[in-house]
Amino acid sequence: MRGAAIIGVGMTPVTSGSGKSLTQLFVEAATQAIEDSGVSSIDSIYVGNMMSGFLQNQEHLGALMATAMGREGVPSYKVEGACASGGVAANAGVKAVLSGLEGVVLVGAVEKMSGYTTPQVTSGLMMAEDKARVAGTGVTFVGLNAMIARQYMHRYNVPHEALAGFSVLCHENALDNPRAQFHKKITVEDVLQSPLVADPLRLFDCSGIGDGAAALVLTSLENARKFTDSPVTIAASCMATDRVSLYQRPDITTFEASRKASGQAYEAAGVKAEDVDVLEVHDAFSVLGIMALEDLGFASKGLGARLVKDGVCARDGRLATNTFGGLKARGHPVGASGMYQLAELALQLSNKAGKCQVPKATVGLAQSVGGIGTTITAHILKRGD
Amino acid sequence: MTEAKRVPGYTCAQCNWFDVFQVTSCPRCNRPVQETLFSGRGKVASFTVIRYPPTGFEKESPYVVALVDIEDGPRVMGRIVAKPEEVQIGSSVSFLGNSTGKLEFTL
Repeated sequence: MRGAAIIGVGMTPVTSGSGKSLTQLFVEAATQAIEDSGVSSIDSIYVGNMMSGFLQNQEHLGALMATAMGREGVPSYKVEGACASGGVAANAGVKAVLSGLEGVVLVGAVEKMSGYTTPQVTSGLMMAEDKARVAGTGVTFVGLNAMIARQYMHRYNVPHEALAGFSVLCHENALDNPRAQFHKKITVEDVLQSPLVADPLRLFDCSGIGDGAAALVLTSLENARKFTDSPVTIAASCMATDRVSLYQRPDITTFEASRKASGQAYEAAGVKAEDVDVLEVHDAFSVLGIMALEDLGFASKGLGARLVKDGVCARDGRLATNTFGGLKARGHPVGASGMYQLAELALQLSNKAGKCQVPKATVGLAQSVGGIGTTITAHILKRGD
Repeated sequence: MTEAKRVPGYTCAQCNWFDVFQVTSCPRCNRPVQETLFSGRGKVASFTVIRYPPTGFEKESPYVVALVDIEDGPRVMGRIVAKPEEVQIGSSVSFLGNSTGKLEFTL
């Protein structure tokens, strides 16, 4: 089988106020991934990031990170797709490997969000929208998702409690993840009583502000066997886009790009939704976690929350979801989250997930969302060959 | 009911594209666009209350931002100048103006 494989994984803990620079975070994750893989040379580097130009006044991350890693001379690309930058960087790296032009590729993603004021970060996140057209309203990224949540709850008659269950699940799973930003068990009541951020979304419906980096070493499946007996295969790496702005969508309770990217991924990997046993979704807000379950084909519209309520999404359930805590509790260093998901799936599929390990994991799916459902990647990973 | 102020916008006679934002040519088919006036009435498709605003909006919060479906025009994002508890999905709204750089509606 022709394909790309993951042979090395690295992740920093997600923290708020690590004191580490963007570069330190990236190098930490990249070095771990390279050491884990056993490779010595890297043919190219892909760096996913969303906000360094805005928050750190720093661009040119390709060369910046290659230099910091002591690998100057290697082609190195910065890849940006808003909050899906990590997923998009992985997608670019997979294509490089599949092209046959690049033998060993490092894909990494990094974001540093702490140390700035809430209005600064809030303004930065709005760069994922069509800022010239909607920023004048004073809307925020949470506000956009709040409009989705309100419409979703209204149309499908789903109570807030049902959405809150997704946050509870993520916090439960993160208790066993030493790299998670939040180690705090929460209840549905806690979510419903937390302060309003943008009605109806409350603080515990929302992922936090954090710093972190994750990286993978990719190579062809054939080459992978020189380094490991149990490579994790990337059976599909797909991406779709939608109209950039929320006001341009007739139906805001579904992400068309999610359906499209996952549909293509299922086809490319030769699997169906029911074959997936470990899932990582982009739950930047509780409602997005529930919508993802529907848009990825696991539940009909309006019924996603039932999977969480019935225990299907628990780590010992049929569809173990956000097994390390997801964006809500592992943390959401925005441009890096998509790469964390893939690193976590790779650990699950190679039985290296420690206390987060699910009993049976052979097919994993990761969905990463950039903007308001605008850029979406879907990756399907498989154990072994 | 009093006649609401109309919402200025642009249409493309060729492909029926329309929006409220100024463009020099149709973003779909690149043909010339015409200025138009949409109805000043619409319905709230969804809304939120911004309590943690971005830079520059600190003094205005909390405020209501909504998606409004204009009667004979596009869906737009704008402000509803009203108390948050008075706004509902489906509320009828009237256009107030856009002199502040954003579309403003009232109940």
